[in-house]
Formats: sequence, C-alpha cells, structure tokens
Amino acid sequence: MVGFSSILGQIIIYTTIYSLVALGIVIAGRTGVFNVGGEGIMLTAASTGFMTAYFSGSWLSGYFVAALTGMALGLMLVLVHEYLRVNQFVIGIVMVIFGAGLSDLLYKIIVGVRLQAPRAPRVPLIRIPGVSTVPVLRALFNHDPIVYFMYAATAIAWWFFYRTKIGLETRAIGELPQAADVVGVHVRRRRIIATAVGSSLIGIAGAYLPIFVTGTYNPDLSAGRGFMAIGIAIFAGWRPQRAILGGFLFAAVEVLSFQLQLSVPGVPFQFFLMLPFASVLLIMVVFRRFIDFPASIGKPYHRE
Amino acid sequence: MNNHRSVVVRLKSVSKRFGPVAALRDVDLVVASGRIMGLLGENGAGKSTLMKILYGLYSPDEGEIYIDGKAVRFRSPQDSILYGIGMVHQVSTLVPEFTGLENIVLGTREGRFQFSLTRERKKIQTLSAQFGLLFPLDQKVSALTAGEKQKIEIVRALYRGARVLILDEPTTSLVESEFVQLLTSLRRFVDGGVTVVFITHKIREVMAACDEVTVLRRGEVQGNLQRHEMTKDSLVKLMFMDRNIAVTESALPLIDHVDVALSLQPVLSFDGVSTSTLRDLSFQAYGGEIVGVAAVSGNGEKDFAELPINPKRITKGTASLMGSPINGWSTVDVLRQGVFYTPEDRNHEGVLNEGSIVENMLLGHHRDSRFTRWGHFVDWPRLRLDTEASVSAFNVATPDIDVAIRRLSGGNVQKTILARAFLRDPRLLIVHNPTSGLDISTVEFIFSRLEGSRQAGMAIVWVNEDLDELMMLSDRIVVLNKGRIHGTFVRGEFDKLAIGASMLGESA
Repeated sequence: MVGFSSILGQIIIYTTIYSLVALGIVIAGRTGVFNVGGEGIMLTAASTGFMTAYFSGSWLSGYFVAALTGMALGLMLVLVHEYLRVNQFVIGIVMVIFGAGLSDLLYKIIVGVRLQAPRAPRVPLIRIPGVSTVPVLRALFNHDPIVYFMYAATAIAWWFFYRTKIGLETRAIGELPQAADVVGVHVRRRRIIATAVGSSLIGIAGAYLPIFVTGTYNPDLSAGRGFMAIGIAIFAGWRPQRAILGGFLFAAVEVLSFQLQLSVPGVPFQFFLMLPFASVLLIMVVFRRFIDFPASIGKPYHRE
Repeated sequence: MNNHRSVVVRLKSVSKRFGPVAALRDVDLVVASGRIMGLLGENGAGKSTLMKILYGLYSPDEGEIYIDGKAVRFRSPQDSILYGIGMVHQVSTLVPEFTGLENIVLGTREGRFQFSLTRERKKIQTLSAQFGLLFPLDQKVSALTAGEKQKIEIVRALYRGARVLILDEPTTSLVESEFVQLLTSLRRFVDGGVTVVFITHKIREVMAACDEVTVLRRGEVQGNLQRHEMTKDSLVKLMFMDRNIAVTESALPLIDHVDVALSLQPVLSFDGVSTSTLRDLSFQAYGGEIVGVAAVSGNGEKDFAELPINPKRITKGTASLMGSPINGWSTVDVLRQGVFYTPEDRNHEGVLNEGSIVENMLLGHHRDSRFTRWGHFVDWPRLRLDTEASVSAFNVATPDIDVAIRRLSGGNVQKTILARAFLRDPRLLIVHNPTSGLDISTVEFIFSRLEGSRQAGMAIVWVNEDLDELMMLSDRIVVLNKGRIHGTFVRGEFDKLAIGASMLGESA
C-alpha cells in the first residue's frame, strides 16, 4: 500500500477537479441557471488550455485560456437560453456533445498525431512554510497552485453568497426571480455573469487534468466527471462550502478505487471504475431528504 | 377639501398591447398627492398592467409618464424606485426561503458588500411601529401568514422611500379583520405624506377606502369620481356600462339541515377523517346543497378538496359516498361513482394546455363506455358530438373544438372544465376557486350553473378564497384552519367578521 499522506494528497487533487466543476454549477444554479453542459465545457477547455500551455510553455496562460474558453461556452449557454428562449437542459446537453467533438477536433488540427505525446510544462508546487511538514496538513497544503485556487474560490463564493447583500440578491434570483426583479435587481444580467464566472471555473478544472494531473492530453479525459459534479452540486444543496465536501467524498471514492484495483486482484477492474458512479447514486438515495434546490432553477423568467 | 393638491403622477395617453390584445387604450390618469386613489375595474380591465407600467415592469407602447410634472422613462423598477414609486403585487414577490428582514433589504443600494443589518433593522422597526405594521423580522417568510407577508411587502416599499404606494388587489387573501387593519394603516400612510393607489375589482372596498376613484373597463378609462360622488350605482354603471350584473341571491335552501341529517343519506360524508395534513374531519354534503369551504390559503383546503377523489390518503376515520365507505379506493373507483373535481390551478392541473378542447373533454371520461368502442378505442365521432353540444351549452367562445386549450382565455378554460364535469351528470361536484381571475359575466355564468346543479339535487363542495362569493351562494360554510374544521356557519347567520375570525383560528 502507498502511504496515507500520499493517498490523501492524491484525493485532494481529485477533489480540486470535482469541487471546481461543482462550484461552477452551484454559482450559476444560485441564479436559476442549471448548467448541465459542464462535461463539454471541461473537455473543450482541457483541449484549448493544454495546447496553450504546451505551445507557450506557460502553465499559467494555459489556465487563463481555459478560463476564457469556459466563459465563452458558458455565455453561449446562458445567452441562447435568455434571448432565444431555448430550454436550459437542451442547450446543456448540446454543449456536452459539441464540446466532446470540438475538443478533439481542435487538438487534431493544431497538434495532430505524434509518436510521442506532447507534455505540459512543469507546474511548480507551492509549499506553505510550517504546515508542509506536519503529517496530515502536509497532504492538504503541499500542492500546485490550482488546489489553492480551489480553496480560495470556495471561500470567496461562500462569503459572497452568505455574507454580502449582493450575494443575497443573487440567491433571490434562483429562488424567485420576480422577487428580485420587482426590487430592481437585473435578473438577466446576474444570470449571465454568474453562468460566465461559473463556467470559467469549470474550464479551469477541465484544463487541470491535462496540464497537471496527467501531463498529456487524451480524448475524453474528463471521463464523466462533469456529470458527476452535477450530482455533487445537488448533494451539496447548492452551497459552495458543501460542494468542497461533496467533491472530497467523490474524489476519495475514485482514488481509493484506484488503490483497490492494485491491491485486490481477481476482481475485474471495471468494477472499480464503476464505484464513483455507483456512489453518486447511493448518496442521492441516502441523502434525498436533505437535498433542497433553488426553487426556480432551470425555469426561464420573462416579465410579460 | 383642499382643491389645490399637487399632482404626483400623471399618465398621459398610455397604450399597451400584448400580441393582438389591446390591454390599455389611450389611458390618462392623474394621481393627486396625499390621497387614496382607487383604480376600479373587472379582471382584465387593465388596472394591473397600467400600474406595472408606472412601476417600470412593462414599457408602454405609447404615452408618457410624468412624476411631479417631470417626464420620466422607466426601464425597470430600479428607475421607478428612485422616483419614489413602490408597488405591492397581487401575488407575493417575497422570497419564501429568506427572512422578512432579508426580503426588505433585498435590492437596496447601500452597503452591497456588507451584511451586518443592525442599522437596517432599526430603521425597519421604526417604520413598522409608525404605521402599525407588525410582523416577525427573523422568521422565514414561508412560515408567515398572507397578512404578515403583505405587511412585509408594504414596509419594503416604504423602506425604499416610496411616496406613491401601489397596492394591487391587496385584500385577495385577507380576512375581514385584516382588511379593517389595512384601512387604518392606509390612513396613516396618507397622514405621513404617502399617496396610495388602490387597485381592486370590488366596489365595496372602493367605497370603504378611497378618496377618489378612476374606473377602467377593457383597457379604457370610464370615468373618475370624487368621494362625494361615489355611490354603488354610479360605480356599477361605470364598471359594467349597462350590462346587467345582478347576481341573484341564493334561493332558499332546498332542504332543512336539522331534518335532513336524520332522514337523508349524505352524498359525501367524512367521519373523523385524518390524513397527513388534515385532522379529525367530520363533514357531510347532501344532495341539493352547496357547501362552501372557507380557509386562509395554506390551511389544508387543497387537500380537503382532493380528499374525496384520493381516499387512499386517509390514515384514520371513514369517508363514504352515498353511504358506502370509500377508504382505500382509487381515484378511478371514486370517479365512477359520479364524482367530479375541478382543481384550483386550472392551467396546470385542470387541462392539458397543448391539447385541443375535444381531447381535454375526454379526460376523466376516457373510461366511460359512452366514449369507447370495443373496449379501448376512443369513439371520436360520439365524443365530438357531445363536446359540440356542451361547448355551446357552456358558451365557450371558440371558433371550433379543435382549438388548443392554451389559446382560450381563463374564463373559457374554466367553462370548458365545467362543461367537462357536466358531460355526465355528477352526483358530487367539488370545485376549488372556480371564479378566480375571471370577469364578472363568466363568474355569473358559473354561479348560475352551480345554482342550477343544486336545484337538480347535486351535492356541491365549493372551496373558495373569496368569502363574499361563498356567502352569496352557499347553504352552509365550513371553515378550515390548520387542517381542522374550525367552525360551521349556516345561511342566515353568515357574518363576515365571525367567519374571518374563525378562518384565523380564533374561537367565536
């Protein structure tokens, strides 16, 4: 078996992916936009982000482009919904299919097929002096910058939604858009901003896979995590602080199932691959009573 | 009276169309400061539309708005709020998940990135006390009564510095004593320098509350009366022109309840019935009577209305139809006995909006052997024939019976639903808010059908939010409070205050 700290560190890395995507979905969801296109956004941003990082040699610009890609797709989703009045779920699913195709297409056009897979530039680890030697904390605070970014994004989102008036207004839109509208909050503007911001987080999570986790780009590398993040957002009751917990839970299942694959011979490996998905289902059933939704999520709002 | 009051709001030649429908045509309105101005008209007369334009929710197709003599253009409520316009909407616009305090500060400009609400709380408490509008500040709104929610909405508008307060049908969910309280508060607003626009379709309320009234009919101004010119007749004339609106007082009850209870078998009977939301109900409805059910919305009236067609919900006690227990019966079994239910939310629960009239007519009768052939196939020719007949009997205004339901007006949808109920003469008819949002001629039509059914010996259970209507037609009124029957009133001893008190759960 691998050491506890190293497994925990591994879990934190996968937590980062899940939590960032879930957070992106939560932020949009709080304004009533149900972004089910996360998988497609992740894939496209993974492709553009990785290529930028590879060609420029700068991981930072890779993430930057991934965020922009996510934002662009998120804007597409929310604008088509708000102005052309297309159902959110329809656009979301279209975005998944579109993203899956577009990501590979771009990669094949620009990078092509090579004997040796291009590798992303090395990302430095940030050590926090003091805690980086403490046993358990070491696994939480001895990581690449995106892990810290995820911690910060979660904290800021929580502070924004639950400690500011502007956040209260934003939550009101997801509960009852007409309530926000009649007191002079711009429903449409907030929905657009929230979806764009949320989608850029999803984009960064998408690019995190090829830039840091695997180091190379592969087709369909998000492997359904964009969908599982929807489950996390729901499980979290659309609260940022719980999204990180949900992310940790799913990441733990995923990492432990890797470990089990190695240490329990005789069981087909597909069984372990199934575990994260099965646990989504299980958690949904177990926690169904505690799950609450923003009341108007997924519903369009028009004044007249 | 002071004749030189300054004009706060002037609307000039305002017109608004929704698709092919002209909601407002060339409307002029002058609101003088420090008064209560009534805006009277039937449902669909354009009152709310006009005020939503003033509040910036709708933009007018034509016409101008002047505030204090200055031309303004409102693109959203944010603009109108700055000019001191406040509006309390007919349907609650509070976020149920938030507290009263949170709802009131929502959308205000100051301190957008801070959350300590100490100063705001103080200011709100002062306002509440000043105008006699007391409510809990820190409870989730979803736990409050309709009256309390309304107070929060009013304080919210005042908190934003409203000088003109628009109240859209403020009495819809209030009981009598709350209405009286509201009137007192309105007077305090006026004394405090606030101008009030009071939208209503009830003449009685205008007479009780307003200094001045403007009457709208079909999107046009019919006239403006000062307090001393207001009489019931003059208002009726402006509201309906020469249409005859005499709603007939209910004829004498067909049966005397004291005797009846001993001799006749009730059509519907509950004996100590409880469900997860209703407690220990004992209730009878006899053939040939209209039993009104009055409740403040959310006190179990919806579950009560649905109980007879869904007896599986019963956890205790016995429900019977024509003397036979129906506990555990499925909806189909009950409907077969000649029960028909028309739900409160007609567009979501009453009809399939995308279906045609004739398709909707079949729903609920789809197992009836009259409309089936060889067991499972629809006998369309027969159904069309019957649909044609009942559509014309119920005056549904439609070019033909293949029109999609969503193209019909609310009144015609309701008539279609009733026509469907009468397709096979029911023995028990349960109707929930059948008249809400309909114009007076449709209301009258529905009343006449209900009365006709009563004469024909049908039992009618009528759950209704409008107590005036209930008192007009019911033989008995049963009051529900928190899922229990809290009081029963028999025709002849109807008293609006007493029934209202009972609805609030106060003992007589």
